[in-house]
Amino acid sequence: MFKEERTGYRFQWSDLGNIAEGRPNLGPTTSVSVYRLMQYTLRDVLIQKYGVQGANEVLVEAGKLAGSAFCANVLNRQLGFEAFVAELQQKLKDLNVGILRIEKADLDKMEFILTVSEDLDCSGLPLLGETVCDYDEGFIAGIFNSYTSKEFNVKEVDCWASGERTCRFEVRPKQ
Amino acid sequence: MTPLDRVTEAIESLLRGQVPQAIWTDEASDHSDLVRLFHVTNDLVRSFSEAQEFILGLSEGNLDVDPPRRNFLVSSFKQLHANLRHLTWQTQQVARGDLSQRVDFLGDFSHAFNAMIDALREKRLIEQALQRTNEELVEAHVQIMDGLQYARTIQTAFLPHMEDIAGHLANFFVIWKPKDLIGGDMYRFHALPDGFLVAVIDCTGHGVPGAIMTMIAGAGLDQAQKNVGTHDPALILQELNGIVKRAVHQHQTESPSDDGLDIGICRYDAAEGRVVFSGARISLWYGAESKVREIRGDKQALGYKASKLSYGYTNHVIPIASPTSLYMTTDGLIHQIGGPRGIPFGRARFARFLSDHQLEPMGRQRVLLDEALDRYRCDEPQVDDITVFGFRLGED
Repeated sequence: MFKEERTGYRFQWSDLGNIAEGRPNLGPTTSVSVYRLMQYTLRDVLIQKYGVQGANEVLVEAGKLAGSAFCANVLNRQLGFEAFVAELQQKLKDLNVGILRIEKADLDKMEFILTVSEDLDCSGLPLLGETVCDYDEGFIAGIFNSYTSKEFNVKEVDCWASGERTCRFEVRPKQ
Repeated sequence: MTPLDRVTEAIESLLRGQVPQAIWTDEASDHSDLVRLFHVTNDLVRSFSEAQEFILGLSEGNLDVDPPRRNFLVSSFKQLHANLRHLTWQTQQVARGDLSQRVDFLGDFSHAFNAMIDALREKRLIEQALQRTNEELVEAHVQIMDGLQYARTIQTAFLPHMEDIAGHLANFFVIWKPKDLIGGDMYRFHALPDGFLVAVIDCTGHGVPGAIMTMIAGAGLDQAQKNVGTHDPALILQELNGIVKRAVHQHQTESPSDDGLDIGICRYDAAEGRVVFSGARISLWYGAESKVREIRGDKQALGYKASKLSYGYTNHVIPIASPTSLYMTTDGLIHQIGGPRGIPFGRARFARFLSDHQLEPMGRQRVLLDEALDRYRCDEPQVDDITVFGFRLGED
């Protein structure tokens, strides 16, 4: 199931398994460094095999898949926008993913500027002058796509790693 | 000035908060380490200039300024800037009524903001509870007013019809003005084979309790006439006194209530050509030719615990030898506050009115008395129920 050849995405939320059953002693949490160890080694190999652009595309697409599943299984899509955002903020905080904040929200144009502080992917990384939260771009796009049933483009414009201290994402409907 | 001097001067300018010009000298071009030092110093100057401009805008509350990209000198200020932008958005949401907002991880500001939201949320809950209470009160008020309106319909129906009175009295008027929708005043008219009996009654209180007493008084008056006949008003009053006391158990000292009534009764005997009046704290005013006289009622009211059953009321006989105007009024008219000095209307003013108008048609007197009372009362509230019954006899 997890290793079959496929032409379409097959990920389901149930694929995450029963963590309580599987880890009765170690529990459901781990360290940020373990998460980053996996992501940045994976990124290294992806870049080696597919180039920077290709690696970025893989990470964004995976994030989008994860974001859609997260929204459908963890969030209440029936809530109004303000209540939905409040729930999303709480869940991301509870799961130690990051501190999501809204800077601007134009509900008519459906354009938003979000920031994520203490981001799981990048907070505390060396300041190398580049944005690195491609997976988060996809994750946020997946959430908005699932909530609104419309396609969104998300671009990280500021990142801890680029020296901006907080990650800033511009969210716009796909033209 | 040596190249190092130029670098030192530039750094000293920065330390004074001043942005120096970019530095260069041809002397450095041959030394790669000096060239690098100059480039780095100029980068520092540029970053400092960007930082200064950004922080200045931030200090003035200008959040629309974008932080300089890739400038690590202002990293913490960029975080502050992002937090302030978010707080601005949250505050706008709160202003729009979204009280689900909370601020986390911003130290003292988080505590203050969240406390403010909690207070606003509590205020909203209180306002909603007040709104619900208000709606319940309005509904209760509507129900009470509907009940009072219906009670007025019943009380009005209990009063004698003008047509019935007009069948026996050619010239009369009635003013019946409860203080509220219903009241403790009433009047009764009983046609008799040889004349009629008219009574003006002022029960304890006004509004609902007064109206209930009028029902007891009216039914009691009917019963008293059945018990002792209709020819002796004083005897009727004595009988009515006992009936009312027994009806509300005020013949027993332990009764929780102490209510009663004032009353004036006029019995007209057409054959005898006379009116017999008896009153309990209600007077009869009468005028023949030009003089108006008052016959005061007896001092004991009816029905109260202190009203002695053995008390004998007084009959007063008024011969009707010529056109005579007769009036009974409850004390609501006498006690109505008004006028330039804010004092009661009073017996003297009433007597003067009767003296001035007693020869006019009764219908006209009603209008004039109504107008005089309204003028006197002006903006003062009506203090008690008002009933006036006026009639003229001897005009055949």
